[in-house]
Amino acid sequence: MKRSVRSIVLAVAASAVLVSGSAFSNDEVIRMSKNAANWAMWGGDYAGTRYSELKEINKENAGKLQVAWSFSTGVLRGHEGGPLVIGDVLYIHTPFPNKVFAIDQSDQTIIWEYVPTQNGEETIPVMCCDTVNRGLAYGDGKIFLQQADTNLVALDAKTGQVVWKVKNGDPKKGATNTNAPIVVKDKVLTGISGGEFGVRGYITAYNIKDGSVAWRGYSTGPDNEMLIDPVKTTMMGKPVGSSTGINSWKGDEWKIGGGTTWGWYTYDPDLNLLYYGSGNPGTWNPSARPGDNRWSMTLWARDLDTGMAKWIYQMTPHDEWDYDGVNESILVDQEIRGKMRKLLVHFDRNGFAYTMDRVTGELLIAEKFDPAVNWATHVDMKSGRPQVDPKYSTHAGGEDENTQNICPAALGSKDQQPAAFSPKTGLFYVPTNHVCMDYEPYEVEYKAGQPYVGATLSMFPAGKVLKNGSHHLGNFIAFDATKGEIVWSIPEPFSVWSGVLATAGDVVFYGTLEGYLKAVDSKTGELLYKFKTPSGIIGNVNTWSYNGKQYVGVLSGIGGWAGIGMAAGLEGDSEGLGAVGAYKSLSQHTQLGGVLTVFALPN
Amino acid sequence: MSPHNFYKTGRLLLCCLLLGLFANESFGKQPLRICADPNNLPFSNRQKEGFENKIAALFAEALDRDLEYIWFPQRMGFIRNTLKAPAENHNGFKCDLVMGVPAGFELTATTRPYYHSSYALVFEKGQRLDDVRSAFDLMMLPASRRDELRIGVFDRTPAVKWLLNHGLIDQIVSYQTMSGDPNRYPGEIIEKDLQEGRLDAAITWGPIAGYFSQQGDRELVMVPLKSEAGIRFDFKIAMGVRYGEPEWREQIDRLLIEKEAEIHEILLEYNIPLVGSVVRGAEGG
Repeated sequence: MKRSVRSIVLAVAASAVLVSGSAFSNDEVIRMSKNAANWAMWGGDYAGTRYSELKEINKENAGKLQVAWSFSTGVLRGHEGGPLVIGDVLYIHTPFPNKVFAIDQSDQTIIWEYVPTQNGEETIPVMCCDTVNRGLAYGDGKIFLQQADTNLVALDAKTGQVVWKVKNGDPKKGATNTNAPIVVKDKVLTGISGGEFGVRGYITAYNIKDGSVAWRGYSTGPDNEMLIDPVKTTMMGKPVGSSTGINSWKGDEWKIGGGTTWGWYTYDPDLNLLYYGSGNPGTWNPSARPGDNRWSMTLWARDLDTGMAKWIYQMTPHDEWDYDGVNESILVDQEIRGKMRKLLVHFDRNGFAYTMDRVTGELLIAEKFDPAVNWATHVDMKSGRPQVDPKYSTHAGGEDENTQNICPAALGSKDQQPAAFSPKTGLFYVPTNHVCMDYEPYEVEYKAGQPYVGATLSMFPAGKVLKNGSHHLGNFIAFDATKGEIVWSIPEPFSVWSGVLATAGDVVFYGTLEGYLKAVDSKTGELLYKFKTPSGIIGNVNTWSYNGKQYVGVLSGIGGWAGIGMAAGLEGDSEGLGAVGAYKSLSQHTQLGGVLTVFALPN
Repeated sequence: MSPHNFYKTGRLLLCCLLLGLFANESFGKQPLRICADPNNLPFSNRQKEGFENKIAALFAEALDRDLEYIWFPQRMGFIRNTLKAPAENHNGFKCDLVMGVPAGFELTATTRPYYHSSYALVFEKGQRLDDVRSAFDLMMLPASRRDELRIGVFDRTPAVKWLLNHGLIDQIVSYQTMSGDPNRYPGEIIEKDLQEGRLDAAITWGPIAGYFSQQGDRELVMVPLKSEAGIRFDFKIAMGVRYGEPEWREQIDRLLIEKEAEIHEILLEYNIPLVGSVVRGAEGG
């Protein structure tokens, strides 16, 4: 019985090969992403620029945008990520239970629907920050879904049938997934969540044909498990040395070392390097994990074929603030100090924007992208280390000290929501948080039957620290990564928690937590259009064209970390890892519910 | 008032009305619904072997109501998935009472405390630590003996800070406070790792230390730890109910007073180390 099922699976896989008909599925993916009619991967392209050549919608006519159609996902909770569009079909996903819909663009009917069966009792209790999912990947005639319960599922793009399925982690050890996978060459890559439970982070490349493991690289531990070569792998241009993932930890702490990998992944086909960031170290109490806790909070460049790390760069050694380093790395070629460079630009939770040489890992620029950032004065360009201000260390004064006015708050100056880059302006468009926090270690907590004094994180507008009388919680900024400077900044009442889209029509799109889809002029930031969608937006704005007409689509559906107070029915100010208090007034603007809204110009 | 708040207030009023009915003896058939971890002895388990199960049974009898459990691992999200989650099959919430939360807990309203315990050190009798009678004794061991110790502690508990403050960082064997696996429970640190010799000692919350130090083949010793400057080892434990339901809370408070002696018996039966006199109990206090 088992064998016959397997042969069916193989037959389906084989037919998919015939459909794609190329040596590597990413030839197909690259071809598709080059055709601006598609939106074939999360970032629009492998570089993660989230830029589209489409320009039917431009800064002159964007004010005339209308809703073309909309689609309810039928799911509450936070809707992150955005639609994929491959030819005539649009694919959209939901938060837990992680449904997938294939929608025919011609009449917006559902071609197929996939509803996984997941053990909610096992999975939901171990998801820290709402049950989000950041979307799908396409390749080899398959749609890839990374379910919350860690199952990576390959669905036949035409029928929604499961082609293969592989378990990527153990929810019993606290491992879950929220990330979107990415297809490169003959592999599909995915990460893991669960730093709160001491999951030791890793990234895994699965063979696209059958889901077998090609390689897995851990964030901590022995060199051969991290896929680090002590001599060839470099940090700041120097060999990293041996056993760094062990000897930067006390004892066996690296085994519960965190460094999870739940952000976005980008890829450079010429260099054959995969880029991503690792998250915070596992053990909660920083004093109990002396050392740099390598390689948590690190940017990674790995060889796609072997997984070997070419270079790494640790942004926040020995984290005390929960500044996960998982945000996207955007790959662009720009001139720096008169010289064209292959760059990697990364806006970190810790409030610094890093401009690096993506070939060598050389640190070129590290500047604050929110003026409120104060936990470190600057990054030392020789060592690459942040110069931490002891005033804002949560533990320098002992953990029963109340540490006030730390900027940014634990949710960072920017969370996972990806930025965009326009080659026309040379600017990055970045959704940011303008939020600071007090760290008050007084609250009695109770977990698994044991009471202890935990820390309350109170979050509030950064204006309180800057003493400028402002109350807004977010800014939408344009940033010049060749200089490390903010070019313009639009204050938003709430954090900007949506992924950004830049277009050749000189229009940049983003969503707000109150639910507005906004279009602004890419040069000036001038507001061209706004529309109130049914719920707060934490999804990514994507664009494509169908029958020659440009469409812009975004998921609304409040939730995620900023919206968890509403999505999960939390009320206490310090619930949801401290995010509830600052975002309380959101409920005056919007309610729960997932809807895809698609915009276009009038015919 | 926003529609959102209005809705919530409406729901609150409804549930208070229902609770008012519960309080009325003539409406005795609604079960007493307890929110509990299905697998965390000595507190509770699905087989109802925990001391919280015993106290819940006592309450159900006193209230003349059937006892019903809503099981959910007591981890992140426990309260919002149980006490604060609307029920699917009746008007109200999934459950109405959590048998143990710290006094002054933020996520729920709390009743009067019904026991006061402290973290405790547990080790095997006749091994390396026989002369240890207090935290101070452990701290004052000669370096040669201290340096060899492996002491298991949960990462967020005061034990970690205590060991750090006293230069015992290298003795720490760190465990996650919350396991992602609902089949795991903190008591295993004693039941398995200490019993099987992988640790020389463990520090856990009192009820866990008390209960598990009496299980297993090896004879174990429990030494309750006293709070010191900056380190709080002792906590008072109350029961948790939703905010905005004072009548229900008062009813539980009355039960706690009425049943004090029986509750004290149960706590002693589970060998829970008790501090002070929150429970005056059987001694006739």
